Amino acid sequence: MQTITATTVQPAHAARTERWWRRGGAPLWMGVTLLCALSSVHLSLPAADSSENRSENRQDFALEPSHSSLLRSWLSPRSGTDYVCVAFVGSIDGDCAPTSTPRFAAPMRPIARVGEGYRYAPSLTGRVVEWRMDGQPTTLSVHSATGVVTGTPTQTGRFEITLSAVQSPDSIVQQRITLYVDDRTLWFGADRFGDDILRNALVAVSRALLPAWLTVCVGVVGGTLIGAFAGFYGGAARRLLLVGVSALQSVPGLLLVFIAASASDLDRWVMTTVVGLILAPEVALGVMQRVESFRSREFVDAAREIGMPDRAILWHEIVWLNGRDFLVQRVANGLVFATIMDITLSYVGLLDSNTLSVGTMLRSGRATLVGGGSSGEAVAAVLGILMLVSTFMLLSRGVRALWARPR
Amino acid sequence: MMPQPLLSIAGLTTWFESPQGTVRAVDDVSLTLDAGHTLGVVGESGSGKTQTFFSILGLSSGAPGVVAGRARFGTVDLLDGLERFVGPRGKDVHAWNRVHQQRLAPILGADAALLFQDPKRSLIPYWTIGRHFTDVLRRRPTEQRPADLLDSLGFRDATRILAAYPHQLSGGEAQRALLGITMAMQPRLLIADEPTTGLDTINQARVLEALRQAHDGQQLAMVLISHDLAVVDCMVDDIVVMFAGRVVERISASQLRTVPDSQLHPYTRALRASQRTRAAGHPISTEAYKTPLTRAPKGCAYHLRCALRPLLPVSTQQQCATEAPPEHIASPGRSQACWGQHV
Amino acid sequence: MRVIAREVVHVVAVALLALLLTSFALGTLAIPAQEVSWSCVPLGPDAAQFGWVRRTMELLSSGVTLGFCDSPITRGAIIPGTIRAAGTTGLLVLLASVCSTLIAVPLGMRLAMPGSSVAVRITRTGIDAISSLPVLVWCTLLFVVLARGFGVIPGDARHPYLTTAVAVLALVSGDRLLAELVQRVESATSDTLSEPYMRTVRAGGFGVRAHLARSLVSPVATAVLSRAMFLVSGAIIVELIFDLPGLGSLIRQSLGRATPDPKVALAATMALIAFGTVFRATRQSVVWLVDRRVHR
Repeated sequence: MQTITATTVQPAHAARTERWWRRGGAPLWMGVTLLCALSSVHLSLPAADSSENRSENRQDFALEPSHSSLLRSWLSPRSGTDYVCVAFVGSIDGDCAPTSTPRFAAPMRPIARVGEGYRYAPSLTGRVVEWRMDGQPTTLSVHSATGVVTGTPTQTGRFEITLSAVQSPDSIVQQRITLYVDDRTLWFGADRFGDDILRNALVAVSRALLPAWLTVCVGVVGGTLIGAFAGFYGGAARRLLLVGVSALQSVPGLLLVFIAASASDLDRWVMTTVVGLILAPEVALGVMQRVESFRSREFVDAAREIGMPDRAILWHEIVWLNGRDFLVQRVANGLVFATIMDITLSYVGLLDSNTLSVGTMLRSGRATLVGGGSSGEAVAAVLGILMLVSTFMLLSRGVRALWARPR
Repeated sequence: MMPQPLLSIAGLTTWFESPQGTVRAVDDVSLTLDAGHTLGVVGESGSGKTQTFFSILGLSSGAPGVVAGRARFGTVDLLDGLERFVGPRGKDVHAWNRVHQQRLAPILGADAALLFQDPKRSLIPYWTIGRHFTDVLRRRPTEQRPADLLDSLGFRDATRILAAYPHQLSGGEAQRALLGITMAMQPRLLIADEPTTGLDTINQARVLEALRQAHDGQQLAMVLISHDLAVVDCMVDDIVVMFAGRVVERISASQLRTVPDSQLHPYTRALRASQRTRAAGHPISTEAYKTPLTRAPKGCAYHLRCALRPLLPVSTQQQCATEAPPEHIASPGRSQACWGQHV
Repeated sequence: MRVIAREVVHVVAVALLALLLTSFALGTLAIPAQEVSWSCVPLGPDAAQFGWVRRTMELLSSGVTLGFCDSPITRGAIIPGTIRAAGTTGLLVLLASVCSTLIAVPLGMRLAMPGSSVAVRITRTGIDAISSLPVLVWCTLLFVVLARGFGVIPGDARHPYLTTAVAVLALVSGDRLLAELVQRVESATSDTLSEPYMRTVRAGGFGVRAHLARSLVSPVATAVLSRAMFLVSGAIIVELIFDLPGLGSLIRQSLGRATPDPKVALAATMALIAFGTVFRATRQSVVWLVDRRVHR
């Protein structure tokens, strides 16, 4: 009697929602929200100044020597006797100019904050008669004798600054930078390019989504197709699959990806596909084992008896109804695997080392730490990975919980 | 002064928690066994006959469920003081187990030994039979050689048995080998839990014969747990009939043979009837209703299946459904718990 | 006998396949052939002029002899250099497996016993959470903690033991092995406890712990050894981040743009295949030795 009262009092849809929520709606909802948030970051942020800033006048800190010829041509003197040295970091100083040419020991910091003091003391080989500066914010000034730039910016904006050292009337050495002045609170601080690390982390994380999905499409769809056929029909396909799986398992996937990275000239999409192909045999093996165990069950015979075609039995009854749980789990694991591979490759420098990604953030965070700098970048990158991994896990958990048969 | 019984259990109550609710496996069971005597415990599956002994000897799988009662083996009190681990926040199972195991350590494998059903899987699979003996003899040195012990249990090729792994033996051989290993422990009490279940009739007879020889030869006390009244009947001095965790009747084996059906507890009567029906080759009437152990017992646990109840006056019938019957002495050496016989 | 023969055939087939794959990948290496050090390859320094098919065939056919060449990456002959590097990686993997086992076995056994305490269950959940973060993340986190908290840069030659300890810690935390072991030990313990023979063991006073420990050897060894190749991958990542000498740095240098050298990459691959073979053979032997019921 009591239960009847309870159900009549509670509207049916409310009960259904509650049940949905209790059965796994919560993690699914959280996962979908995170995924949507990350995707919207991906769609909205890349056009912003962040990437523009990065590609315009920055180079990565650890360029490999084979790229140095490109760099050299790019850095070559642009006009007459003016030698322009663009801001750079790291070990490629030697490539900037012939050793006899006067050069700046360190470039100007390209980021300044409203209300915070800015100071730059240039150091240049050779005697300097006079220092000049153009294009700076009104509150910044240069000491004409020492060249020390000081001041406190009061307004935000982007300033094309040229710092000129007059050594003799026909020899002027210039340094050109784009100075960004902003007043945002940077929770994780700014990186060496002056970009907001938090924003960078969000962009990097959202950029990792698409390659991960592509990997999983290749790995899980391909693996499922192979595994299902091998499991259902057996024979040579099955034997081939078993040998392939053990071959792949005896060499770490990481090495294969390294080699593929070297062989494909660092093409991101080729790499993504290769990671997917590495994932495929394991998925195929799992699907094959499931299909094999279900193939001999009574319900398959019963389905055949009532005239169901083999195709329908395999894909609908076995793979979809009985294997989807496994597949969702594989998709989640595959997404994590692909993300980690992607990050590792860009960390090692085998994948587009000059664009913003979680791997390059980790690498530059590590370099900052080694140089005694702040840990903001490394921590932000780690939090980014954490966010990705938990999004995938929440999605998989939620979907599986919803599909689970109520007890 | 009365000699102290070898094993005495008083008011033992064992409950297990399960997802379906509390399972009252053993409900207020008391029994005693004197040295050298034999006791048969009979009942259907789930009647609590095995759990009564397993729970006091710490052999229940999962959490130990004893919530109340006393159990003494010789001079050792097995459950005394353990109630302090049962508090308002539940039971500290780990501490409970530890103390209980400490008390049992000198008893198990020495003074008390057990024989289980499914003998092939009850032997340690990666030990030969000889290795079992070596381990026992290291702890309880004896003059008797394992081969002689096996000979006395009716084996003709003791050497082969000693060198064999359990999976290389037949069920009957394994059970007798297990009995041999158990006897090598020179126990004072042997608890045989359905030792003949799953064996063919010839092997059943062999195992029972071996048990009888062991009892006669070493003067050990024996508890024979079985669902088969016929097996127990020919082996023991006294019989305890259990149903749904409670003792419904105590009777000596000799009385069981002579007392007419009408004076027995309805459940004992049903057991005896099924035994006769089977012997005569008639189909056995199936009793569809199985008492769910998770439901709090209200009244006699057997009342829904009782054949006697419809014949009783209406007031007694109501009593059956509402009040648990106490045990009363029906005749010297025989007691039962039934409102219908409680006149 | 047939089992052993089958295993040998399997190992040889897999090794050949992996070698073929690697040679193919290295032969088609996108690094301009001129930049690769081809000296010591039977084709000689002219190798740069040949197409990738020929280079692949050369690499494949002279897989062993290449090992006797020198390379700047290994600072001398390739084979001893690779063996040294593999030893470092192997040590890392061994330490990580031992640590994981030492943590997981008591914990898993405790979890399987009736009435495991809340603290034990929280520990299990904690281990699950820790293991869901990859090695890369743990390495970075530990790096941050060491560099910022203690001012120590891992990989610094002044703290060799500290770096190894931190590397092992990162590997243990980041690999799924620990969580998997806890799960396996727990289920194996509760399976064993519910086996009828364990009742005999308890009732006969045979000593529960020894039998329990014996029943765990096979599942623990299987879990550790089947996970070992993942541990090697993890160790490579750890070595890259902490600047430890090992197969990781060997692979990075031999494939990197600075000093590309397919010979060293091939040697490193062979070392990895050897790892795989050893792990597989050990796993099969342990199972064969411990579990007599297998060949009933």
